[in-house]
Amino acid sequence: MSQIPAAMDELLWMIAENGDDSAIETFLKRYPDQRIEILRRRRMVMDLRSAKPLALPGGKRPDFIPTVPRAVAAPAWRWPVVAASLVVLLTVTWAAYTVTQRWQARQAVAMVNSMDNPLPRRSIFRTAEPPSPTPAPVADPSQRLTPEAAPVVRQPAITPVPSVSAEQVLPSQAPYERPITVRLTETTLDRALGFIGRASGLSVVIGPGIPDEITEVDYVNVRPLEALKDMGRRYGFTVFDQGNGTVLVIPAVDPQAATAGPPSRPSPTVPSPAQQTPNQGLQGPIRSQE
Amino acid sequence: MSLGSAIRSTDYDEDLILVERFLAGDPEAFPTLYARYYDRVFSIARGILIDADEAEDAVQEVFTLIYRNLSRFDRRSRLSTWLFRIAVNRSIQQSRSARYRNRWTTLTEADEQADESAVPVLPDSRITFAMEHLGASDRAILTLFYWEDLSLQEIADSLGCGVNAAKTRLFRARERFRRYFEDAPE
Repeated sequence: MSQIPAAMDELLWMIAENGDDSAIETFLKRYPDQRIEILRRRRMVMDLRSAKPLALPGGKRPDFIPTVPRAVAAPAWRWPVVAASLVVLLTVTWAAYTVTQRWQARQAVAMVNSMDNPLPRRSIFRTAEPPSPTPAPVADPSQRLTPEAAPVVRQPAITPVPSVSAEQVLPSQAPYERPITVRLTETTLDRALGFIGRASGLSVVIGPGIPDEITEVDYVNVRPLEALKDMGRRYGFTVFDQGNGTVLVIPAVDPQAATAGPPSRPSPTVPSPAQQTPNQGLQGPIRSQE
Repeated sequence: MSLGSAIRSTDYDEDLILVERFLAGDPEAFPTLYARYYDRVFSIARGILIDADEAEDAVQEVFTLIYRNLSRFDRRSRLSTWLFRIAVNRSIQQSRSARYRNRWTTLTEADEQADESAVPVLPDSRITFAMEHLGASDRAILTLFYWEDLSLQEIADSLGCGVNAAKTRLFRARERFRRYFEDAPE
């Protein structure tokens, strides 16, 4: 079979499948050596064709019954289950929201308490004996410090436990940026500035020329810098925030510039050397720093 | 040749008329199509599946598919070509699943099946022997060519391949069949 050329093989199949006896005889006259091959193929084709099943063994064609897929109805309990699931989901969501809101409110109250009162009753701070603030020498016996004037938020001896400390509540807030409450009556400006510095943790550097006059300070829950700037507007000095917890207080030249930004920016209160006259401008250490 | 073409043209038109009647809601149209093509579809399924019961199930599946999807018939080919293509594909698919099922039959079921298969499923035992050893694709193309007398073009259309591919596949299937046929016990 494999020795037969492809053209002859195709011709053999064509004649075997044609079934014409005269064609077979003509082929065999020309190719008598292919007699066995053509007869074997002829028999195979005839047997294969005759094996075609004409019908079912019973000879009866079954009826066709179209089976249309019916839609499966949804179970009757589907909607109640969906509704109950939604209710449960909404309840859980509302409860989570409420709990979160209450927790945040409690945290906010705790933060305010920690600012107003650094040693709450149930504080878990482990504190050393708080040093009594050294009162400034009172020149005038009439000068008195009201109870609200002692909210020194930062006590050096306090060792905060990290869990509930105010620093954790407002991690980005520097200690000297926390609001303080200061009430001083009939005190000098130097002492008032120094007291605010101690209460807030700021290092207040007072330049020369600050008037030493009797003043009155009453700030409730105000940021130290804001309190100092307000005092500057009232008493004619300018507060320079040095940016590292140090505040420079110098007499204001320009009354419109009672407040000033960081020292890196040119300050309008400092006159340029060309504009300065020998009797004007800053003198003393400040000038030497320029 | 011209007579055959005329008959085919008439068949084509009659099939299309039946399709249109079915789509228009005529309840008698589909039974007419079913009666018209049942024997040929059964023959194809039987040639591919060999087993008569499997073939009968396949025929029911084929006509169910046609009943549901006759609206998708695009009329670019003859209805018979479309129908034979569905029959071939469905029978080959069922042949594969049947082969998978038979792989996991228990010993008792295998004994019962052996008793039933004592009767040859095709009239000629050598034909049965050769066909059983062929793959479903080979059986399909031999069935279409020798039992349904389809031309190579019609076979190509029914199998979804080109004429040359159909010719090559027919040649190889025939050679394999001949090898098993001549080796089969008398």
